[in-house]
Amino acid sequence: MGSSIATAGYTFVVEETKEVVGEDLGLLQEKLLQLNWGVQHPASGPMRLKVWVDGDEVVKVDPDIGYVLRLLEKLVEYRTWINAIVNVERACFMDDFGTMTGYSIAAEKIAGVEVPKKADYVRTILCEGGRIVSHLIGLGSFVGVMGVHTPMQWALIAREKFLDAFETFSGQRIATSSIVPGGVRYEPTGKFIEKMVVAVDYLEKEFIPRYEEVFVDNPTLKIRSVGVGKVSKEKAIEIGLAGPALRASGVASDIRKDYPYAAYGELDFKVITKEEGDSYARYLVIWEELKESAKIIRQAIEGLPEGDYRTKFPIKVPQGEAYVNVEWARGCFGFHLVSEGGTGPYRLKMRAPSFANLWAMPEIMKNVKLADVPVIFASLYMCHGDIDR
Amino acid sequence: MEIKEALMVPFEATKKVIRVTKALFAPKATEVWWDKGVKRELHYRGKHIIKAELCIGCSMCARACPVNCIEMVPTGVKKPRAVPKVRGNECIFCGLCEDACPTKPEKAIKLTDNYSMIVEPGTWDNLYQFVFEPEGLEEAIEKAKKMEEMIEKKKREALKKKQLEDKKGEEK
Repeated sequence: MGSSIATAGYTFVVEETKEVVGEDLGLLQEKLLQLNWGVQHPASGPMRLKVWVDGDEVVKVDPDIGYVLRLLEKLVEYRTWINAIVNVERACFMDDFGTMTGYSIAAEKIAGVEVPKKADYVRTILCEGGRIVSHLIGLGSFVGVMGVHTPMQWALIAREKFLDAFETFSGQRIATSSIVPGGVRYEPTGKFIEKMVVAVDYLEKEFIPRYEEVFVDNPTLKIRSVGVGKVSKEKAIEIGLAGPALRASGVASDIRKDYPYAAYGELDFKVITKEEGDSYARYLVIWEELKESAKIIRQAIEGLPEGDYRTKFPIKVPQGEAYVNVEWARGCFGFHLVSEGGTGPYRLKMRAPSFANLWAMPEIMKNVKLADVPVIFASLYMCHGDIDR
Repeated sequence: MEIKEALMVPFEATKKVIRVTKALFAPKATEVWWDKGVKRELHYRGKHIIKAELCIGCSMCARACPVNCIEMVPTGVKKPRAVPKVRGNECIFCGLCEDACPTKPEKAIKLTDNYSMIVEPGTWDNLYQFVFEPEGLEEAIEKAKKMEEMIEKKKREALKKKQLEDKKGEEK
Protein backbone atom coordinates (compact mmCIF):
# COMPACT_ATOMS: atom_id res chain seq x y z
CA MET A 1 0.00 0.00 0.00
CA GLY A 2 2.63 2.49 1.07
CA SER A 3 4.97 1.45 -1.70
CA SER A 4 2.31 2.02 -4.37
CA ILE A 5 2.08 5.65 -3.38
CA ALA A 6 5.84 5.91 -3.40
CA THR A 7 6.00 4.48 -6.93
CA ALA A 8 3.34 6.94 -8.05
CA GLY A 9 5.67 9.76 -7.10
CA TYR A 10 4.10 10.77 -3.82
CA THR A 11 6.10 11.22 -0.69
CA PHE A 12 4.94 10.41 2.77
CA VAL A 13 4.16 13.41 4.83
CA VAL A 14 3.93 12.44 8.42
CA GLU A 15 1.71 14.98 10.09
CA GLU A 16 1.73 13.59 13.55
CA THR A 17 2.29 10.25 15.17
CA LYS A 18 -0.95 8.95 16.47
CA GLU A 19 -0.90 6.25 19.04
CA VAL A 20 -3.91 4.73 20.64
CA VAL A 21 -3.16 2.73 23.75
CA GLY A 22 0.39 2.26 22.63
CA GLU A 23 -0.69 0.86 19.22
CA ASP A 24 0.52 2.30 15.94
CA LEU A 25 -2.41 3.36 13.77
CA GLY A 26 -0.36 3.16 10.57
CA LEU A 27 -2.40 4.62 7.72
CA LEU A 28 -3.70 7.55 9.67
CA GLN A 29 -0.18 8.88 9.82
CA GLU A 30 0.05 9.36 6.08
CA LYS A 31 -1.16 12.56 4.60
CA LEU A 32 -2.13 10.95 1.31
CA LEU A 33 -4.44 7.99 1.56
CA GLN A 34 -5.06 5.61 -1.29
CA LEU A 35 -8.63 4.39 -1.61
CA ASN A 36 -9.91 1.71 -3.94
CA TRP A 37 -13.11 3.09 -5.36
CA GLY A 38 -14.52 0.26 -7.29
CA VAL A 39 -15.08 -3.32 -8.22
CA GLN A 40 -17.24 -3.72 -5.15
CA HIS A 41 -18.63 -0.20 -5.19
CA PRO A 42 -22.28 -0.21 -6.35
CA ALA A 43 -21.71 2.63 -8.84
CA SER A 44 -18.37 1.64 -10.30
CA GLY A 45 -19.16 -1.41 -12.37
CA PRO A 46 -16.42 -3.91 -13.15
CA MET A 47 -13.61 -1.38 -12.74
CA ARG A 48 -11.40 0.12 -10.08
CA LEU A 49 -10.41 3.72 -9.48
CA LYS A 50 -7.36 4.26 -7.36
CA VAL A 51 -8.17 7.50 -5.59
CA TRP A 52 -5.54 9.33 -3.57
CA VAL A 53 -7.15 11.64 -1.08
CA ASP A 54 -5.78 14.38 1.09
CA GLY A 55 -8.37 14.58 3.82
CA ASP A 56 -11.59 14.91 1.83
CA GLU A 57 -10.00 16.25 -1.32
CA VAL A 58 -9.03 14.08 -4.27
CA VAL A 59 -5.41 14.54 -5.31
CA LYS A 60 -5.08 11.98 -8.05
CA VAL A 61 -7.21 9.36 -9.76
CA ASP A 62 -5.85 6.38 -11.61
CA PRO A 63 -8.34 4.09 -13.36
CA ASP A 64 -7.58 0.38 -13.32
CA ILE A 65 -9.42 -1.39 -16.13
CA GLY A 66 -9.40 -4.80 -17.79
CA TYR A 67 -11.92 -6.71 -15.72
CA VAL A 68 -14.21 -7.40 -18.69
CA LEU A 69 -11.63 -7.72 -21.46
CA ARG A 70 -12.96 -10.11 -24.09
CA LEU A 71 -10.56 -9.50 -27.01
CA LEU A 72 -13.43 -8.60 -29.32
CA GLU A 73 -11.14 -7.02 -31.91
CA LYS A 74 -9.00 -10.14 -32.13
CA LEU A 75 -12.00 -12.49 -32.21
CA VAL A 76 -13.39 -10.68 -35.24
CA GLU A 77 -10.34 -11.85 -37.22
CA TYR A 78 -11.54 -15.45 -36.88
CA ARG A 79 -15.05 -14.73 -38.17
CA THR A 80 -16.63 -14.39 -41.58
CA TRP A 81 -17.91 -11.00 -42.79
CA ILE A 82 -21.46 -11.77 -41.71
CA ASN A 83 -21.02 -13.50 -38.37
CA ALA A 84 -18.47 -11.00 -37.04
CA ILE A 85 -21.48 -8.94 -35.93
CA VAL A 86 -21.94 -11.13 -32.85
CA ASN A 87 -18.55 -9.95 -31.58
CA VAL A 88 -19.05 -6.33 -32.63
CA GLU A 89 -22.43 -6.02 -30.94
CA ARG A 90 -21.02 -7.31 -27.69
CA ALA A 91 -18.93 -4.16 -27.27
CA CYS A 92 -21.81 -2.99 -25.10
CA PHE A 93 -25.10 -4.71 -24.51
CA MET A 94 -27.07 -1.49 -24.02
CA ASP A 95 -26.81 0.01 -27.48
CA ASP A 96 -25.74 -2.85 -29.73
CA PHE A 97 -27.34 -1.43 -32.88
CA GLY A 98 -24.92 1.48 -33.19
CA THR A 99 -21.84 -0.74 -33.25
CA MET A 100 -23.41 -3.20 -35.68
CA THR A 101 -24.39 -0.35 -38.00
CA GLY A 102 -20.87 1.07 -37.96
CA TYR A 103 -19.25 -2.27 -38.73
CA SER A 104 -21.79 -3.01 -41.47
CA ILE A 105 -21.25 0.35 -43.16
CA ALA A 106 -17.48 -0.19 -43.07
CA ALA A 107 -17.81 -3.66 -44.61
CA GLU A 108 -20.19 -2.34 -47.28
CA LYS A 109 -17.76 0.46 -48.13
CA ILE A 110 -14.97 -2.04 -48.81
CA ALA A 111 -17.19 -4.42 -50.75
CA GLY A 112 -18.90 -1.64 -52.70
CA VAL A 113 -22.35 -2.87 -51.77
CA GLU A 114 -25.24 -0.43 -51.77
CA VAL A 115 -27.89 -0.97 -49.12
CA PRO A 116 -31.59 -0.62 -49.94
CA LYS A 117 -33.30 2.44 -48.56
CA LYS A 118 -35.64 0.44 -46.36
CA ALA A 119 -32.68 -1.13 -44.57
CA ASP A 120 -31.28 2.36 -43.91
CA TYR A 121 -34.54 3.46 -42.33
CA VAL A 122 -34.85 0.31 -40.21
CA ARG A 123 -31.27 0.82 -39.05
CA THR A 124 -32.13 4.37 -38.04
CA ILE A 125 -35.17 3.21 -36.07
CA LEU A 126 -33.14 0.52 -34.31
CA CYS A 127 -30.18 2.83 -33.61
CA GLU A 128 -32.44 5.42 -32.02
CA GLY A 129 -34.23 2.71 -30.06
CA GLY A 130 -30.88 1.54 -28.78
CA ARG A 131 -29.92 5.11 -27.91
CA ILE A 132 -33.11 5.57 -25.89
CA VAL A 133 -32.58 2.28 -24.09
CA SER A 134 -29.03 3.29 -23.23
CA HIS A 135 -29.92 6.86 -22.21
CA LEU A 136 -32.67 5.60 -19.90
CA ILE A 137 -30.13 3.51 -18.02
CA GLY A 138 -27.73 6.46 -18.01
CA LEU A 139 -30.32 8.76 -16.44
CA GLY A 140 -31.31 6.15 -13.89
CA SER A 141 -27.77 5.38 -12.85
CA PHE A 142 -26.82 9.06 -12.59
CA VAL A 143 -29.50 9.69 -9.98
CA GLY A 144 -28.84 6.21 -8.60
CA VAL A 145 -25.28 7.06 -7.52
CA MET A 146 -26.72 9.79 -5.30
CA GLY A 147 -28.78 7.22 -3.48
CA VAL A 148 -32.18 7.52 -5.14
CA HIS A 149 -33.14 4.32 -6.91
CA THR A 150 -36.65 5.20 -8.04
CA PRO A 151 -35.67 6.77 -11.41
CA MET A 152 -33.80 3.60 -12.35
CA GLN A 153 -36.95 1.55 -11.80
CA TRP A 154 -39.03 3.99 -13.84
CA ALA A 155 -36.44 3.92 -16.59
CA LEU A 156 -36.42 0.13 -16.62
CA ILE A 157 -40.21 0.07 -17.07
CA ALA A 158 -39.91 2.36 -20.11
CA ARG A 159 -36.94 0.36 -21.40
CA GLU A 160 -38.94 -2.86 -21.23
CA LYS A 161 -41.34 -1.61 -23.92
CA PHE A 162 -38.45 -1.02 -26.30
CA LEU A 163 -36.99 -4.43 -25.56
CA ASP A 164 -40.37 -5.94 -26.41
CA ALA A 165 -40.21 -4.21 -29.79
CA PHE A 166 -36.67 -5.53 -30.38
CA GLU A 167 -37.85 -9.03 -29.51
CA THR A 168 -40.66 -8.81 -32.04
CA PHE A 169 -38.19 -7.67 -34.66
CA SER A 170 -35.30 -10.04 -34.12
CA GLY A 171 -36.26 -12.65 -31.55
CA GLN A 172 -33.91 -11.50 -28.81
CA ARG A 173 -34.23 -8.68 -26.38
CA ILE A 174 -30.63 -7.61 -25.87
CA ALA A 175 -28.12 -9.45 -28.09
CA THR A 176 -30.21 -9.00 -31.22
CA SER A 177 -27.50 -9.47 -33.91
CA SER A 178 -30.03 -8.04 -36.34
CA ILE A 179 -27.97 -5.66 -38.50
CA VAL A 180 -25.61 -7.34 -40.98
CA PRO A 181 -23.47 -6.10 -43.86
CA GLY A 182 -25.97 -5.77 -46.71
CA GLY A 183 -28.98 -4.58 -44.75
CA VAL A 184 -30.97 -5.90 -41.83
CA ARG A 185 -31.68 -9.54 -41.14
CA TYR A 186 -35.43 -9.44 -40.69
CA GLU A 187 -38.40 -7.83 -42.36
CA PRO A 188 -39.76 -4.94 -40.25
CA THR A 189 -43.24 -6.35 -39.77
CA GLY A 190 -46.32 -4.33 -38.89
CA LYS A 191 -46.23 -5.78 -35.41
CA PHE A 192 -42.72 -4.46 -34.84
CA ILE A 193 -43.70 -0.97 -35.98
CA GLU A 194 -46.79 -1.15 -33.78
CA LYS A 195 -44.74 -2.12 -30.71
CA MET A 196 -42.18 0.58 -31.43
CA VAL A 197 -44.96 3.18 -31.60
CA VAL A 198 -46.39 1.85 -28.33
CA ALA A 199 -42.97 2.16 -26.71
CA VAL A 200 -42.41 5.70 -27.99
CA ASP A 201 -45.93 6.67 -26.91
CA TYR A 202 -45.25 5.36 -23.43
CA LEU A 203 -41.97 7.23 -23.32
CA GLU A 204 -43.41 10.54 -24.48
CA LYS A 205 -46.75 10.49 -22.69
CA GLU A 206 -46.01 8.62 -19.45
CA PHE A 207 -42.32 8.51 -18.68
CA ILE A 208 -41.14 11.96 -19.76
CA PRO A 209 -43.80 14.09 -17.97
CA ARG A 210 -43.58 12.02 -14.79
CA TYR A 211 -39.79 12.03 -14.74
CA GLU A 212 -39.55 15.71 -15.64
CA GLU A 213 -41.78 16.65 -12.74
CA VAL A 214 -39.55 15.02 -10.15
CA PHE A 215 -36.00 14.50 -11.32
CA VAL A 216 -35.30 17.37 -13.69
CA ASP A 217 -34.78 20.80 -12.12
CA ASN A 218 -34.77 19.07 -8.76
CA PRO A 219 -33.18 21.33 -6.10
CA THR A 220 -31.50 18.47 -4.20
CA LEU A 221 -30.10 17.04 -7.40
CA LYS A 222 -28.80 20.47 -8.36
CA ILE A 223 -26.98 20.91 -5.06
CA ARG A 224 -25.06 17.71 -5.72
CA SER A 225 -24.32 18.21 -9.41
CA VAL A 226 -24.29 21.87 -10.48
CA GLY A 227 -20.71 23.10 -10.81
CA VAL A 228 -19.27 19.65 -10.11
CA GLY A 229 -16.63 18.43 -12.53
CA LYS A 230 -16.71 21.54 -14.68
CA VAL A 231 -15.00 21.36 -18.08
CA SER A 232 -14.62 24.38 -20.32
CA LYS A 233 -15.06 24.21 -24.09
CA GLU A 234 -11.33 24.43 -24.85
CA LYS A 235 -10.42 21.89 -22.23
CA ALA A 236 -13.08 19.43 -23.41
CA ILE A 237 -11.50 19.42 -26.87
CA GLU A 238 -7.99 19.25 -25.41
CA ILE A 239 -8.62 16.22 -23.22
CA GLY A 240 -10.70 14.53 -25.91
CA LEU A 241 -14.13 14.11 -24.42
CA ALA A 242 -16.76 12.38 -26.52
CA GLY A 243 -20.50 12.16 -26.87
CA PRO A 244 -22.93 13.82 -24.46
CA ALA A 245 -20.04 14.92 -22.23
CA LEU A 246 -18.51 16.90 -25.12
CA ARG A 247 -21.85 18.39 -26.12
CA ALA A 248 -22.47 19.50 -22.54
CA SER A 249 -19.34 21.67 -22.79
CA GLY A 250 -20.74 23.57 -25.76
CA VAL A 251 -19.16 21.68 -28.68
CA ALA A 252 -21.85 20.75 -31.19
CA SER A 253 -20.23 17.54 -32.36
CA ASP A 254 -22.62 14.93 -33.63
CA ILE A 255 -21.70 12.41 -36.35
CA ARG A 256 -25.37 12.09 -37.27
CA LYS A 257 -25.34 15.74 -38.32
CA ASP A 258 -21.71 16.20 -39.43
CA TYR A 259 -21.28 13.05 -41.54
CA PRO A 260 -24.78 11.60 -41.95
CA TYR A 261 -25.05 7.82 -42.29
CA ALA A 262 -28.07 5.51 -42.60
CA ALA A 263 -31.15 7.74 -43.01
CA TYR A 264 -30.08 10.57 -40.72
CA GLY A 265 -29.43 12.92 -43.63
CA GLU A 266 -33.11 12.93 -44.54
CA LEU A 267 -34.51 13.40 -41.06
CA ASP A 268 -35.00 16.57 -39.10
CA PHE A 269 -33.44 16.80 -35.66
CA LYS A 270 -31.22 19.11 -33.71
CA VAL A 271 -27.96 18.64 -31.83
CA ILE A 272 -28.36 19.35 -28.14
CA THR A 273 -25.62 21.40 -26.51
CA LYS A 274 -25.21 23.02 -23.14
CA GLU A 275 -22.74 25.73 -22.19
CA GLU A 276 -22.18 24.97 -18.50
CA GLY A 277 -20.04 21.84 -18.86
CA ASP A 278 -20.73 20.48 -15.39
CA SER A 279 -22.28 17.21 -14.28
CA TYR A 280 -25.80 18.60 -14.33
CA ALA A 281 -25.38 19.83 -17.90
CA ARG A 282 -24.25 16.36 -18.98
CA TYR A 283 -27.32 14.89 -17.31
CA LEU A 284 -29.56 17.39 -19.11
CA VAL A 285 -27.96 16.62 -22.48
CA ILE A 286 -28.80 12.93 -22.05
CA TRP A 287 -32.29 13.88 -20.95
CA GLU A 288 -32.99 16.11 -23.95
CA GLU A 289 -31.45 13.68 -26.43
CA LEU A 290 -34.01 11.17 -25.24
CA LYS A 291 -36.81 13.41 -26.47
CA GLU A 292 -34.98 14.08 -29.73
CA SER A 293 -34.53 10.35 -30.37
CA ALA A 294 -38.24 9.72 -29.88
CA LYS A 295 -38.93 12.36 -32.54
CA ILE A 296 -36.44 10.72 -34.94
CA ILE A 297 -38.13 7.34 -34.50
CA ARG A 298 -41.52 8.83 -35.32
CA GLN A 299 -40.15 10.50 -38.45
CA ALA A 300 -38.38 7.34 -39.60
CA ILE A 301 -41.52 5.22 -39.10
CA GLU A 302 -43.55 7.71 -41.14
CA GLY A 303 -41.01 7.77 -43.94
CA LEU A 304 -40.37 4.01 -44.04
CA PRO A 305 -40.12 3.18 -47.76
CA GLU A 306 -41.26 -0.01 -49.50
CA GLY A 307 -38.87 -2.51 -50.98
CA ASP A 308 -36.14 -4.96 -50.07
CA TYR A 309 -34.57 -4.96 -46.66
CA ARG A 310 -31.43 -6.91 -47.48
CA THR A 311 -29.11 -7.32 -50.45
CA LYS A 312 -26.64 -10.07 -51.04
CA PHE A 313 -23.25 -9.54 -49.45
CA PRO A 314 -20.34 -11.30 -51.19
CA ILE A 315 -18.57 -14.11 -49.36
CA LYS A 316 -15.14 -12.82 -50.42
CA VAL A 317 -14.51 -9.10 -50.21
CA PRO A 318 -11.75 -7.38 -52.24
CA GLN A 319 -8.72 -5.81 -50.59
CA GLY A 320 -9.24 -2.44 -49.01
CA GLU A 321 -9.62 -0.32 -45.93
CA ALA A 322 -12.42 1.75 -44.49
CA TYR A 323 -12.82 4.03 -41.52
CA VAL A 324 -16.37 4.74 -40.42
CA ASN A 325 -17.62 6.86 -37.54
CA VAL A 326 -21.06 6.40 -36.08
CA GLU A 327 -22.76 8.37 -33.35
CA TRP A 328 -23.27 5.74 -30.73
CA ALA A 329 -25.28 6.39 -27.56
CA ARG A 330 -22.08 7.29 -25.69
CA GLY A 331 -20.38 9.23 -28.44
CA CYS A 332 -18.47 8.81 -31.65
CA PHE A 333 -17.57 5.17 -32.29
CA GLY A 334 -14.91 4.59 -34.93
CA PHE A 335 -14.36 1.42 -36.93
CA HIS A 336 -11.16 0.86 -38.87
CA LEU A 337 -11.74 -2.26 -40.93
CA VAL A 338 -9.07 -3.86 -43.12
CA SER A 339 -9.70 -6.51 -45.73
CA GLU A 340 -7.05 -8.73 -47.31
CA GLY A 341 -9.41 -10.31 -49.80
CA GLY A 342 -10.46 -13.16 -47.55
CA THR A 343 -13.76 -14.49 -46.27
CA GLY A 344 -13.45 -12.44 -43.10
CA PRO A 345 -11.97 -9.20 -41.73
CA TYR A 346 -8.18 -9.04 -41.57
CA ARG A 347 -8.20 -6.50 -38.74
CA LEU A 348 -10.75 -4.39 -36.95
CA LYS A 349 -9.87 -1.50 -34.68
CA MET A 350 -12.64 -0.02 -32.62
CA ARG A 351 -12.25 3.50 -31.29
CA ALA A 352 -14.49 3.69 -28.27
CA PRO A 353 -15.88 6.94 -26.81
CA SER A 354 -16.04 5.64 -23.24
CA PHE A 355 -12.34 4.88 -23.34
CA ALA A 356 -11.64 8.48 -24.33
CA ASN A 357 -13.88 9.77 -21.56
CA LEU A 358 -12.26 7.49 -19.01
CA TRP A 359 -8.77 8.85 -19.58
CA ALA A 360 -10.08 12.40 -19.52
CA MET A 361 -11.62 11.71 -16.13
CA PRO A 362 -8.46 12.04 -13.94
CA GLU A 363 -8.08 15.56 -15.36
CA ILE A 364 -11.65 16.45 -14.39
CA MET A 365 -11.40 14.84 -10.98
CA LYS A 366 -8.55 17.00 -9.70
CA ASN A 367 -9.32 18.87 -6.49
CA VAL A 368 -12.88 17.68 -6.08
CA LYS A 369 -14.41 16.26 -2.94
CA LEU A 370 -14.43 12.50 -2.51
CA ALA A 371 -18.23 12.46 -2.50
CA ASP A 372 -18.22 13.99 -5.99
CA VAL A 373 -16.25 11.10 -7.50
CA PRO A 374 -19.30 8.89 -8.20
CA VAL A 375 -21.28 11.86 -9.51
CA ILE A 376 -18.61 12.81 -12.06
CA PHE A 377 -18.07 9.18 -12.93
CA ALA A 378 -21.75 8.60 -13.67
CA SER A 379 -22.17 11.90 -15.50
CA LEU A 380 -19.42 11.02 -17.99
CA TYR A 381 -21.74 8.20 -19.08
CA MET A 382 -19.29 5.37 -19.64
CA CYS A 383 -19.81 1.74 -20.46
CA HIS A 384 -17.32 -0.83 -19.22
CA GLY A 385 -17.99 -3.15 -22.13
CA ASP A 386 -16.53 -0.69 -24.55
CA ILE A 387 -13.74 0.56 -22.27
CA ASP A 388 -12.23 -2.92 -22.19
CA ARG A 389 -13.59 -4.46 -25.40
CA MET B 1 -48.35 -9.49 31.81
CA GLU B 2 -51.60 -7.72 32.36
CA ILE B 3 -54.89 -9.49 32.52
CA LYS B 4 -56.05 -7.96 29.25
CA GLU B 5 -53.04 -9.30 27.36
CA ALA B 6 -53.37 -12.71 28.99
CA LEU B 7 -56.97 -12.89 27.84
CA MET B 8 -55.94 -12.06 24.28
CA VAL B 9 -53.40 -14.94 24.02
CA PRO B 10 -55.80 -17.78 23.05
CA PHE B 11 -57.58 -15.47 20.63
CA GLU B 12 -54.35 -14.55 18.86
CA ALA B 13 -53.25 -18.19 18.78
CA THR B 14 -56.47 -19.36 17.12
CA LYS B 15 -56.14 -16.52 14.60
CA LYS B 16 -52.68 -17.74 13.65
CA VAL B 17 -53.80 -21.39 13.42
CA ILE B 18 -56.63 -20.39 11.10
CA ARG B 19 -54.25 -18.38 8.90
CA VAL B 20 -51.82 -21.29 8.58
CA THR B 21 -54.53 -23.83 7.74
CA LYS B 22 -55.95 -21.44 5.16
CA ALA B 23 -52.54 -21.05 3.54
CA LEU B 24 -52.12 -24.83 3.37
CA PHE B 25 -55.19 -25.27 1.15
CA ALA B 26 -54.92 -22.07 -0.85
CA PRO B 27 -53.68 -22.23 -4.46
CA LYS B 28 -49.95 -21.66 -4.92
CA ALA B 29 -48.81 -18.10 -5.44
CA THR B 30 -46.18 -19.19 -7.98
CA GLU B 31 -46.77 -21.11 -11.15
CA VAL B 32 -44.69 -23.58 -13.07
CA TRP B 33 -44.41 -21.62 -16.30
CA TRP B 34 -42.73 -24.18 -18.51
CA ASP B 35 -45.76 -26.47 -18.53
CA LYS B 36 -48.04 -23.76 -19.87
CA GLY B 37 -46.63 -23.65 -23.38
CA VAL B 38 -45.98 -19.93 -23.49
CA LYS B 39 -45.94 -18.61 -27.05
CA ARG B 40 -43.09 -16.34 -28.00
CA GLU B 41 -42.77 -13.86 -30.83
CA LEU B 42 -42.54 -14.72 -34.51
CA HIS B 43 -38.76 -14.75 -34.78
CA TYR B 44 -38.02 -16.00 -31.28
CA ARG B 45 -34.64 -17.69 -31.24
CA GLY B 46 -34.87 -20.69 -28.94
CA LYS B 47 -34.03 -24.38 -29.14
CA HIS B 48 -32.97 -25.75 -32.54
CA ILE B 49 -34.95 -28.23 -34.57
CA ILE B 50 -32.96 -30.15 -37.17
CA LYS B 51 -34.86 -32.16 -39.77
CA ALA B 52 -32.68 -34.92 -41.16
CA GLU B 53 -34.99 -35.60 -44.13
CA LEU B 54 -34.60 -32.07 -45.45
CA CYS B 55 -30.87 -31.77 -44.76
CA ILE B 56 -28.61 -32.00 -47.79
CA GLY B 57 -25.41 -32.11 -45.75
CA CYS B 58 -23.79 -28.98 -47.22
CA SER B 59 -22.37 -27.89 -43.80
CA MET B 60 -23.20 -24.23 -44.48
CA CYS B 61 -24.64 -23.90 -40.98
CA ALA B 62 -21.41 -25.13 -39.41
CA ARG B 63 -19.44 -22.56 -41.41
CA ALA B 64 -21.82 -19.74 -40.52
CA CYS B 65 -21.72 -20.45 -36.79
CA PRO B 66 -19.70 -17.76 -34.98
CA VAL B 67 -18.88 -19.95 -31.98
CA ASN B 68 -18.27 -23.22 -33.84
CA CYS B 69 -20.86 -25.13 -31.84
CA ILE B 70 -22.26 -27.03 -34.84
CA GLU B 71 -20.65 -30.34 -35.60
CA MET B 72 -21.31 -32.28 -38.80
CA VAL B 73 -21.85 -35.95 -37.92
CA PRO B 74 -21.23 -38.35 -40.83
CA THR B 75 -24.22 -40.57 -41.55
CA GLY B 76 -22.63 -43.28 -43.68
CA VAL B 77 -24.86 -42.64 -46.67
CA LYS B 78 -24.20 -40.45 -49.68
CA LYS B 79 -27.07 -37.99 -49.28
CA PRO B 80 -26.95 -36.42 -46.76
CA ARG B 81 -23.30 -37.16 -46.17
CA ALA B 82 -23.39 -35.52 -42.74
CA VAL B 83 -26.02 -33.88 -40.55
CA PRO B 84 -25.54 -31.04 -38.07
CA LYS B 85 -25.51 -31.55 -34.32
CA VAL B 86 -25.69 -28.43 -32.15
CA ARG B 87 -23.94 -28.24 -28.79
CA GLY B 88 -26.57 -26.36 -26.81
CA ASN B 89 -24.13 -25.47 -24.08
CA GLU B 90 -21.98 -23.33 -26.34
CA CYS B 91 -24.69 -21.94 -28.63
CA ILE B 92 -25.42 -18.21 -28.40
CA PHE B 93 -28.72 -18.46 -30.32
CA CYS B 94 -27.84 -15.89 -32.95
CA GLY B 95 -29.80 -17.69 -35.66
CA LEU B 96 -27.13 -17.29 -38.34
CA CYS B 97 -27.24 -21.04 -39.07
CA GLU B 98 -30.88 -20.68 -40.04
CA ASP B 99 -30.02 -17.81 -42.37
CA ALA B 100 -27.29 -19.84 -44.04
CA CYS B 101 -29.38 -22.99 -44.65
CA PRO B 102 -30.03 -23.26 -48.40
CA THR B 103 -32.96 -25.77 -48.40
CA LYS B 104 -36.22 -24.42 -49.80
CA PRO B 105 -39.03 -23.80 -48.95
CA GLU B 106 -38.52 -25.20 -45.47
CA LYS B 107 -35.18 -24.88 -43.73
CA ALA B 108 -33.53 -28.01 -42.39
CA ILE B 109 -32.17 -26.24 -39.31
CA LYS B 110 -34.48 -23.87 -37.53
CA LEU B 111 -34.72 -22.02 -34.24
CA THR B 112 -38.06 -22.68 -32.56
CA ASP B 113 -39.91 -20.73 -29.89
CA ASN B 114 -39.16 -23.46 -27.35
CA TYR B 115 -37.02 -21.86 -24.69
CA SER B 116 -37.30 -24.29 -21.77
CA MET B 117 -33.82 -25.67 -21.59
CA ILE B 118 -33.07 -27.23 -18.24
CA VAL B 119 -30.02 -29.28 -17.39
CA GLU B 120 -30.03 -30.82 -13.96
CA PRO B 121 -27.64 -30.95 -12.19
CA GLY B 122 -25.62 -28.38 -14.10
CA THR B 123 -22.31 -30.18 -14.01
CA TRP B 124 -19.84 -29.94 -16.85
CA ASP B 125 -20.52 -33.52 -17.96
CA ASN B 126 -24.24 -32.93 -18.14
CA LEU B 127 -23.83 -29.63 -19.93
CA TYR B 128 -21.47 -31.19 -22.44
CA GLN B 129 -24.09 -33.81 -23.24
CA PHE B 130 -26.78 -31.15 -23.78
CA VAL B 131 -26.96 -31.46 -27.54
CA PHE B 132 -29.70 -30.76 -30.08
CA GLU B 133 -29.79 -33.94 -32.16
CA PRO B 134 -31.26 -34.15 -35.66
CA GLU B 135 -34.83 -35.45 -35.78
CA GLY B 136 -35.76 -38.60 -37.71
CA LEU B 137 -32.16 -39.41 -38.51
CA GLU B 138 -32.57 -43.20 -38.64
CA GLU B 139 -35.58 -42.99 -40.91
CA ALA B 140 -33.75 -40.58 -43.16
CA ILE B 141 -30.75 -42.92 -43.29
CA GLU B 142 -32.99 -45.91 -44.13
CA LYS B 143 -34.71 -43.89 -46.81
CA ALA B 144 -31.41 -42.83 -48.23
CA LYS B 145 -30.16 -46.41 -48.19
CA LYS B 146 -33.28 -47.60 -50.02
CA MET B 147 -32.85 -44.84 -52.53
CA GLU B 148 -29.24 -45.82 -53.05
CA GLU B 149 -30.25 -49.46 -53.54
CA MET B 150 -32.91 -48.39 -56.01
CA ILE B 151 -30.41 -46.30 -57.92
CA GLU B 152 -27.90 -49.14 -57.95
CA LYS B 153 -30.57 -51.57 -59.18
CA LYS B 154 -31.51 -49.18 -61.93
CA LYS B 155 -27.88 -48.74 -62.82
CA ARG B 156 -27.38 -52.50 -62.97
CA GLU B 157 -30.46 -52.92 -65.12
CA ALA B 158 -29.31 -50.19 -67.40
CA LEU B 159 -25.89 -51.84 -67.64
CA LYS B 160 -27.48 -55.20 -68.43
CA LYS B 161 -29.64 -53.63 -71.10
CA LYS B 162 -26.65 -51.92 -72.57
CA GLN B 163 -24.64 -55.13 -72.57
CA LEU B 164 -27.54 -57.01 -74.20
CA GLU B 165 -27.86 -54.31 -76.82
CA ASP B 166 -24.13 -54.38 -77.45
CA LYS B 167 -24.24 -58.17 -77.84
CA LYS B 168 -27.14 -57.88 -80.26
CA GLY B 169 -25.24 -55.28 -82.19
CA GLU B 170 -22.19 -57.53 -82.39
CA GLU B 171 -24.32 -60.45 -83.55
CA LYS B 172 -25.82 -58.36 -86.34
